[in-house]
Amino acid sequence: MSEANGLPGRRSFLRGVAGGVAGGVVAGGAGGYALRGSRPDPALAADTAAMAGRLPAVPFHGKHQAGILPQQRQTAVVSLDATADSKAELTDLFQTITSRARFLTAGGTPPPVGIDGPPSDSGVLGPTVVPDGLTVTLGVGSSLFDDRYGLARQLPAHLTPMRAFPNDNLDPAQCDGDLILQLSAGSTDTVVHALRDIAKHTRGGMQVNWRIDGFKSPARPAGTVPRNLLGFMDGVANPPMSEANELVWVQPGTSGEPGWTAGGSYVVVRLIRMFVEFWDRVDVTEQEQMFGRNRATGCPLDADSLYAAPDYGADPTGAVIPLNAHMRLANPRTPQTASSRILRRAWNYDRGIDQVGDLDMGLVFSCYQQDIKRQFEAVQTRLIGEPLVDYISPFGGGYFLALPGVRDTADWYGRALLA
Amino acid sequence: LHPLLVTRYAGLPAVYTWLDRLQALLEAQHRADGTWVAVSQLPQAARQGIDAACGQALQELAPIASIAEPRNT
Repeated sequence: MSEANGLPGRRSFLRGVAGGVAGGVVAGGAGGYALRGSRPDPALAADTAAMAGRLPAVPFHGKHQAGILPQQRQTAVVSLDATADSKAELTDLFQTITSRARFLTAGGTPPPVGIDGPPSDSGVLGPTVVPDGLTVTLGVGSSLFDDRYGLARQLPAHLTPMRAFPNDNLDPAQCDGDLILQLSAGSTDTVVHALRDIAKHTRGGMQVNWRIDGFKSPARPAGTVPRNLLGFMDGVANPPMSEANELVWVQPGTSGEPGWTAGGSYVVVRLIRMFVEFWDRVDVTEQEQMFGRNRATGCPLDADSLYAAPDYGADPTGAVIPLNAHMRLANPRTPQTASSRILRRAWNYDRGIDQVGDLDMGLVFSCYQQDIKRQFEAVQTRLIGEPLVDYISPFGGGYFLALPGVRDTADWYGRALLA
Repeated sequence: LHPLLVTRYAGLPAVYTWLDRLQALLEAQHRADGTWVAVSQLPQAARQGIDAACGQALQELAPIASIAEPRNT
């Protein structure tokens, strides 16, 4: 079915992930993305078929972490603080996370313990752990580079605590952290199983600081792009992976960057509440003017195809797409702003009700980039005061560096940083 | 239980390591006048340290319940 509508089927989706950037994920990206439209890469496409069922294993080893490109249906984003007592214990922590991630992403039968202790596995996934497309993505925050572990000189060049923007309403209890761990898979039970397994093996070494769970909706209608909880398609415009070395991955030999960061990627996480009761009282034309897209079809307001690039040059006064529309401010599609593009990775969240009985739902926004100041902060600065800010409220998140990938069975998370 | 466990539980040294660490972290919150710092007053790093040591100690202690279960065979 998904082949028929032009999107890759499950198998090719996963081949794309396995191949990574070097393997040539590129299909539709003809370059010049900032100025022209393009269909998303297979690895980035929202493939309903791939997201709907139990997925095969995503290979754990590679130059980059495997969880950055695909977007599975379910995710947990967990900020942790290191409680390890020394650099040696921190090393042990990273090695333990590596070995658990290696097992959980591949799946298999947990070793029997017999009568000498509690079972080695929670049993949440049954007697055999299924991979279900699980990815484990680990990042480090700037606070890890304080005086506890002697890592101050290894601080990544662009890593700071998260900056507060004028429209933010940040709760310090839901910001930052020494580590960020994102677990994503096809089903919630797989995510929960992985979280319990990793937590059980690392109790002395790290403690949860804050956590939020997210979900990616199926593309509706099929063949389009999943929607956020404001009803709009989210992430239609993402750079093609042919530009990943210019936009996403920290390059070896980058001036000012410690060498261990090469192959990693800066990740910004922003927890954004949506005031959905308020939003649902706004007429659809005003909603569309705020985003710059048609709500039903996802098309830019000046085009009749989802992946068409808006022609801002033909609309200099904002008569069709207002000058302060979200997508126009976020990506003006000019040569000057091309280097500020980000790889957008957003999930919806829904966590019940707030203290006054309003629905507590919104967006777990995350984005990957080479340089937070040049990319996320430039984009977010352009968005200050956009009309949408009346309906959303960023309350948490953080800046992290997603570690370089674990290359092989001898490698482990952070080896180049800690060894 | 120590004599029973020392030959039966390879993880016993880790039990003592983590219980000792937990005790030291708790004593650090014991004031000279004999009162304790309330949990709500603990700085975040201190609370996380205690939670971590307690969690790891409980993890190391867990197999003892199975090992010490009376058996007829």
